[in-house]
Amino acid sequence: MDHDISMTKINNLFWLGRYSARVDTTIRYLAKWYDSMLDGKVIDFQHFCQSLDIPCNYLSAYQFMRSYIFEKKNPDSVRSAAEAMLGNGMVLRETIGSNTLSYLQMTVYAMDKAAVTTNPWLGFQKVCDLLMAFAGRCDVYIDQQCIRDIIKCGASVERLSLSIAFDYPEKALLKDLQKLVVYTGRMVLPLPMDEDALALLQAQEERLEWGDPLSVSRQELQKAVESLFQL
Amino acid sequence: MQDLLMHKDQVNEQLARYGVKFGIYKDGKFNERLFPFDPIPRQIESRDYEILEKGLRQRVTALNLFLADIYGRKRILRDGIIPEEFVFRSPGYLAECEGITPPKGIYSHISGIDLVLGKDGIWYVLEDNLRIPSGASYPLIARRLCRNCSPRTFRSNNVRDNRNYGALLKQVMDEVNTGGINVIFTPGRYNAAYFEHSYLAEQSGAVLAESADLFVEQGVLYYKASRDPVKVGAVYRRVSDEYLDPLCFEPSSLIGVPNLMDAYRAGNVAVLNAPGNGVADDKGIYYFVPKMIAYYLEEEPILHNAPTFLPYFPEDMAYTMEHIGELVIKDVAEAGGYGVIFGENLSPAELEKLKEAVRREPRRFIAQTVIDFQDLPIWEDGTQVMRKADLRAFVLTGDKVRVWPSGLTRFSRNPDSFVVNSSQGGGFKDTWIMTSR
Repeated sequence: MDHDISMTKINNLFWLGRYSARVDTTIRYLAKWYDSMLDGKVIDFQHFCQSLDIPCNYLSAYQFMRSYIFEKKNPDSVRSAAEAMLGNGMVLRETIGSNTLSYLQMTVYAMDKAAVTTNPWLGFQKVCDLLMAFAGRCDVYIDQQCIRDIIKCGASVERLSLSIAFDYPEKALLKDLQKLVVYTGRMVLPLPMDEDALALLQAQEERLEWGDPLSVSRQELQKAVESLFQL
Repeated sequence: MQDLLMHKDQVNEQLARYGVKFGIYKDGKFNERLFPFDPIPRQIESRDYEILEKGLRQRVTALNLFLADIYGRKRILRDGIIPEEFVFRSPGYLAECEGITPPKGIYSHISGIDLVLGKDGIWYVLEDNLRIPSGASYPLIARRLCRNCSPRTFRSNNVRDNRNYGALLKQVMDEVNTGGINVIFTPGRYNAAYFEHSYLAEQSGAVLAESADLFVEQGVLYYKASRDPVKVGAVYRRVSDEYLDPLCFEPSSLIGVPNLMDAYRAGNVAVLNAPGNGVADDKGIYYFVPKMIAYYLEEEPILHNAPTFLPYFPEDMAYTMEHIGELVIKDVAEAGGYGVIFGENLSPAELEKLKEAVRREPRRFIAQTVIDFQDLPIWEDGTQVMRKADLRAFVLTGDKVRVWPSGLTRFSRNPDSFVVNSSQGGGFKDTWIMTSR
């Protein structure tokens, strides 16, 4: 396609990036907890839900792990995020290509397979592998840089948002802040952006790069990340 | 062929990987299902295909001439070949299309003709689909995946390549394009054939758009790109006539584009297929297609209709009443395998009720002889079983009338059923046109 794409598609591309990063980042985070729980250390699921600002209707850590990761009917679950990722991908078939889209479909199948095995960690690995392959295909086979960048903007926003929520160290935030600043700087499509949020993120990225701590609270940073794109 | 059968599971895994699904609404809920695929292809020999191809081209040419005539001079009505009420009382006839001449005078660009092969070796046309026939994408992608899973099968069989459907579709769109981009206009993600819409957009290089992506300004259709609007020259719409333009047809439609008909009427965009085509694929009009061929082309029909009776005519009504237990009765307003009643399955009381309905509304029904059509082999649980199957052939009309050398073969998974529609649990096969080499 050598013409401009619609705002509907920009929106789908952005959310495709966000949901794919949500599945990947959350699975990686919870896979570590799966391992720790073998030794009796349980996840503080109430704190987890609070950090993500989602309802906490779980009765135990084990029920949380089951429902939050795999349950299709739980709108907050990783499985639901995977479905939303696929939904956004499906309407972009002619933009991203059937072969790239097939990795999203396989991710959903892998999630469902992992849900019925006794060793879900292997399933998590498969899910993350497929999402990496998806990201690689986007990089190599999507010709238009602006399309790749919208997906990447969505992914960076989501990873940053989750990294802040999971209380990751500032060093971990820098990588995605840097990426976000680069992608937004070279964006050729008229993406609706909040200039104040962008200025704040650019300033914080510069500080972290120079080894200075954030000059705003994590909540303020989170707010800027979430309000950066008006999509 | 054995090699392909051995790889059935792999082919199905591949179909799942590529999301080859269709949607069904049941109890108000939308569900997507994988379309069951059978690896044993329908094979059509080269010499048989030549006849089929000629017959299909002839039939679609006549149907296009009929549509041009009905929305134009109406010679066929004046000459008494078809009774007027079969046209003007058809739900597919749209008065709003009167006097509109589409780009290059083509109405049915993509025609899906449903046929069955009788045990007598003769192809019978069961139905013409000239509105938005679906199904080409399934054998298209299945062929690619079968070739990948079982290359040996395709090395040892001389099968005509069918992977050019996207290119053929693009060619047709380009040939009628009035200047601008090609768009495939879909009702959206929750349409039963959404996979097909998106896959054909990818294959033909067209832009897939929903109603929110399109608008009409000063009689021109535009695609809402993020920077500047882009003119649309050809729109392959997969939205039904009644929902196409809320300012012209159904006012409550949220999936249409306001004023699209204005742009079409002004000749600023080609709409594939043309609105109003339903008048020509009405089950009642079907009866008259052989007469159209004789009238417009002065040729003998190459393809046969299934023997059909119109209760509208007194002699056909008498025959229908006498033989209703042996006939299949079809409600002309229904589609998708619905409204099809086999007399032999009804009790005497039910037959009486049906007779009464036919007498009350003779124009609403047609009666057909049940064709004893050939069963096709299906691979089921490791064994070969025979099932009823039909063939949807695709004819594409641009500067030329071209028949896609393949087609969608649908089969019934129920051994006692003639109904092959996917919405009623049917599966599909690839259709191989064999080459003589």
